[in-house]
Amino acid sequence: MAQVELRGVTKAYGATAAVQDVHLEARDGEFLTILGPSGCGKTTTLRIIAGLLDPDAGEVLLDGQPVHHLPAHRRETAMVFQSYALFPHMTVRENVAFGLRMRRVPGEERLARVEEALTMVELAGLGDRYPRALSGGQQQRVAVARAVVTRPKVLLFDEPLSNLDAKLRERLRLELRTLQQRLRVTTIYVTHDQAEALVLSDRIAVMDRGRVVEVGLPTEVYRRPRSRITAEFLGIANLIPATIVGSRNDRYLAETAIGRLEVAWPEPLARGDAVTLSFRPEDIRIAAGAVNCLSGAVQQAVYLGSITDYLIRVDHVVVRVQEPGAPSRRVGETVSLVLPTVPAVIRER
Amino acid sequence: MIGTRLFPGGSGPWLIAALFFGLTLIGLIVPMIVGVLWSLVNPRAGWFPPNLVPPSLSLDNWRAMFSVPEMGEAAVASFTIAPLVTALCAALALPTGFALGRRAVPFRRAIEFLVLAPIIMPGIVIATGLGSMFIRFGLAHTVLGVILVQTVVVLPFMIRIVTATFEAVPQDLIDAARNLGAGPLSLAWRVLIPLVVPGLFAGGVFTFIGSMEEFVLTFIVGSPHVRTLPVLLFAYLGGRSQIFTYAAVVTIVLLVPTIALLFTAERALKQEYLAAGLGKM
Amino acid sequence: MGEVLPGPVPAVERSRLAARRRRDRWVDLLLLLPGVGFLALFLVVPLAQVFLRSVGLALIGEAGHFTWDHYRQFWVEAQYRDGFFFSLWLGVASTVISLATALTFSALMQVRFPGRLVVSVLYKVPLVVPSLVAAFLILSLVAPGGILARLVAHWGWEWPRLVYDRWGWGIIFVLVWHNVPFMMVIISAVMAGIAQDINDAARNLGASPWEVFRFVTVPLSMPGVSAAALLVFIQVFGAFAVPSLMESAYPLALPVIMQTEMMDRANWALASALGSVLTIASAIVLFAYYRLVQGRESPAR
Repeated sequence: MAQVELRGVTKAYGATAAVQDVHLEARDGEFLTILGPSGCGKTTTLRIIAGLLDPDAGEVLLDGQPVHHLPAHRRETAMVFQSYALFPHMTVRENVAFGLRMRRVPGEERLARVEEALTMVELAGLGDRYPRALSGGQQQRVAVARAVVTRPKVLLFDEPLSNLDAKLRERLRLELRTLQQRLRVTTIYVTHDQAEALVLSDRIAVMDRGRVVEVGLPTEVYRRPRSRITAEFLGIANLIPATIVGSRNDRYLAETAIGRLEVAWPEPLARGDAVTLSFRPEDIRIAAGAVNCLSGAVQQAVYLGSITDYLIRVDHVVVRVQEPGAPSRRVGETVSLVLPTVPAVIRER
Repeated sequence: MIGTRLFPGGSGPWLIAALFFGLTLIGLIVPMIVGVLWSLVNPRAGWFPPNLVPPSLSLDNWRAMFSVPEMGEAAVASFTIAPLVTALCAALALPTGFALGRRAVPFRRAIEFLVLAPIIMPGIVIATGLGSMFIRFGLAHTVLGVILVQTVVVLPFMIRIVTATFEAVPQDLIDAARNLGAGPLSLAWRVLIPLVVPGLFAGGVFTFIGSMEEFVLTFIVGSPHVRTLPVLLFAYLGGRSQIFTYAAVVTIVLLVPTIALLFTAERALKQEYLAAGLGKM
Repeated sequence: MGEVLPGPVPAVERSRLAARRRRDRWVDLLLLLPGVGFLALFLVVPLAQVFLRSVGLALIGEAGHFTWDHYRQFWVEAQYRDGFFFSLWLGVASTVISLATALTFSALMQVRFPGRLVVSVLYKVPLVVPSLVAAFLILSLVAPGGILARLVAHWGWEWPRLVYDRWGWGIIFVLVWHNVPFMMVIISAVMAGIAQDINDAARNLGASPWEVFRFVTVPLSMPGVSAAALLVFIQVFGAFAVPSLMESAYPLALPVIMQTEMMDRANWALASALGSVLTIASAIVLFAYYRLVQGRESPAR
């Protein structure tokens, strides 16, 4: 059990800054996900925690103790790599036992722990195979077993599911979550897959261009993003620039390109504030209503199986709307929309 | 990189650099300087112990290059035989390399083993067989005989590199060219040949250097009538009295073009080609 | 089961296919002929000649009668037997020393250090230096009266006898100098092919740099290492030039004896027998190598 903290960590490759002044904390036993597009510096951050890279500036603390003087092999972290990085010249059992051998764990205990770990990831009986003889999903489990068997203080995952097909990814996602909750080990998980982040995490840290943009609970970052980047990266967002022009009945009035909208927001807003309103497509209804009701023309309707994805043109703005079931509107049809009065208000344009 | 943290305090990389540069200095630079000094020794003064540098320098040994017939002849022999061997190897290896690299040829394993054989066989054994055979054919002690024996030992490198290069051409490119209407001839001329030119060039560098340096077979089949630079060097070093001064001149004449070729063709000696030529068995 | 089964191929079509296949066979043979034909003529025939001559027969020239005498001579006369073991010693010693050195250097070359690019070019220079030149350069350095001997004489020390010695240390030194870069090229290529993640994973699991080298780098480099070692051993085992220049009066390396028998005594039959012994010994090593490599790699592949 441990707590990890990054203070002002910075790392540059030549002239390009991969990570800039990152402050981040993973609490004891927490599942923290670092979410961001590729090249945002999330993997670099992970490798700095593992000691595989040295930061140019800043500190890494494990349980409050700085660890930057410890080389990678003395840090009690265990990493699951995107490529799995299984040793091709060792059997599954030898792979899992490697970390214990390096820690001079005596033979009998080592065997018992390896078997335990293999059973935990449901690979008991495949110990004598070589990694090459395993499927992608099995290789992934070996990588997980190899990491947890050392009982690390911190588990690090670097996009561990990105090389698997969609079905398997969904199943292993849940298995990883169950495993982590059983072991209660502090976990930092790097991914660019927002669904993965939402399913797995206790908290999500969103990174962009080397910086941590915001940190919060999955519901917070999805429902109440504090930046346009978060809103756009997690799910789909209709981002509409707006200016606060007044208030009426506990609601603010916001002037936008598609008309004046009523917005409820718990935090105080002042007249003249320039903000961005973020509407999720599943929150917009195609129906008539009294408040925030607009009219537009259906430009495109795409059937996605469980839902239908519409693009609807309101004045010069295209709004994305999702409704359950098969398409009920035709392209060109004029429809009325109801926008919710509770969008996320982002204090930037 | 194995470790940015191999050594504490960041001194590791400097220690490694010191080790390698130290070894290069002792093992490469100093011997080369000594070699150059030997070639400049004034024959009248000599260079005897305990002198660390020659007491007087002259260009006399270099003039011997032109005044001593055997030296001039050896240089001419080396510099004519090497290009001829290279051309012969290219001509022989191109079709065979194509067949091995791109076609389902019969007896592939046996052919690959045959191509590998001259690389792993002791040269002296090949020389024994070829020597006794060439004496019968009247090819012993002739330039043609030397070209043929040198080709035997350098051809495998050429074939292996050319084969590897042909293998590396993506089938998609060939399919695309045919799909766009290229017949066999324009396919070969406009697609395949341009794609294997780097491999052919690398193979050529190998072959040229290999031919310049070949000694055992040339010595046994060619000497005493046909003598290349290495054969002459052997005579200067192995005789009753070693002639270090002439040996140094021959060494420099031999080394300068090969090392120049190494540096200009560094790209050609990229590890993938070296590995194709030497590594995979 | 709505699949449409392919109907029987019409007879005309079949004969056209067969003709095309026959033509392809001829094209294959024609393409292979230059390279393979050359090697068959100038490698297989001479080797057959060596083996036949070693037992008193001949492929080219007049045939005598079958005899094992030349092999018997090899085994009975001490100079030939000792020559064989001397060559074997040179091969084993040079291979072991070169391998240990090349492995260490190759691993160090994987580390980023100042001037790495320069070193990576310079270390290849010995690849293009003929072994005779290497012998000359090293002779002028370490021979009695060489530069190093003169240097230490200035300080009043005596230079050890490194060339023309019983164990051929001078020869081994030159061959190691010549072969380490060669091995490094092959081994570095294999090492550079090991994914960075594999090294990182090992370190992350608690392996110190030495343990990474011992348990990950070396085992994963084995294909290159064993191939390089095999090539170096066989080359040194059959080496003529360097031993001929730097060996003591006795024992002589087997290739040196062969050359004397051929060129000074015109005793081609004995030379052929010795050459056959050399070839057979090399073939045994080669066979052992293939067994070893296959035994190691089959479970992993």
